[in-house]
Amino acid sequence: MSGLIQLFKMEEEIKKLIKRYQKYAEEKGFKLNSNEKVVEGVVRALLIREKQFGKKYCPCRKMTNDKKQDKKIICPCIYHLDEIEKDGHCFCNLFFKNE
Amino acid sequence: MEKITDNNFEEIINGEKPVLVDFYTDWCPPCKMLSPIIEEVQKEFEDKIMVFKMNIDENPLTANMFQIDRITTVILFSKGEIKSSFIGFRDKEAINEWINSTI
Repeated sequence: MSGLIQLFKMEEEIKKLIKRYQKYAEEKGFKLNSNEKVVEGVVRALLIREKQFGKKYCPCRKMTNDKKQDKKIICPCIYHLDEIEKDGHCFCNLFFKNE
Repeated sequence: MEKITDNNFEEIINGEKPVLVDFYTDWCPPCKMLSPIIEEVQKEFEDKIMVFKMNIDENPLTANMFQIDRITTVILFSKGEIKSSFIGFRDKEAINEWINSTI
């Protein structure tokens, strides 16, 4: 596949995933970061990790290479609800609490 | 900003001046946001501390030694010992305050 087609496909995947996370956030009563660049950066990094390691592992957490442990950091990770509640946003700044 | 590796880490953090290390990866968005701020901090505090970056994908030994599981992590060392640390993005003002209260 040519580089340009690959790039176009990646951009399409990013848009789709952002929509998916947006829907998830709305359903849970929170929202995505209002800084679109950060959202795009996190989502791009998630897709890169998925291509490299098979799952959308959080790009802000270190992978252990222990599948059972690493399952905890597949986005949305097991920590995000507590972090949003406590800090107002998840550690990777993707999900934010509604003001 | 100069990079630090598993090979020269011990030697550098045991220097005379306190050493700030920004543990990062190439693909982590908060790391990208923090990086230019750390560069500004380096200029402001160049006479007081030394500032380095360490890519934890390329240097897993040090990352494991300090049990770094979230990125970005910033640690301030003095004579080989951890003086203070923080995890995640912080703005310049907060980092300046943190350094001033630590060194």
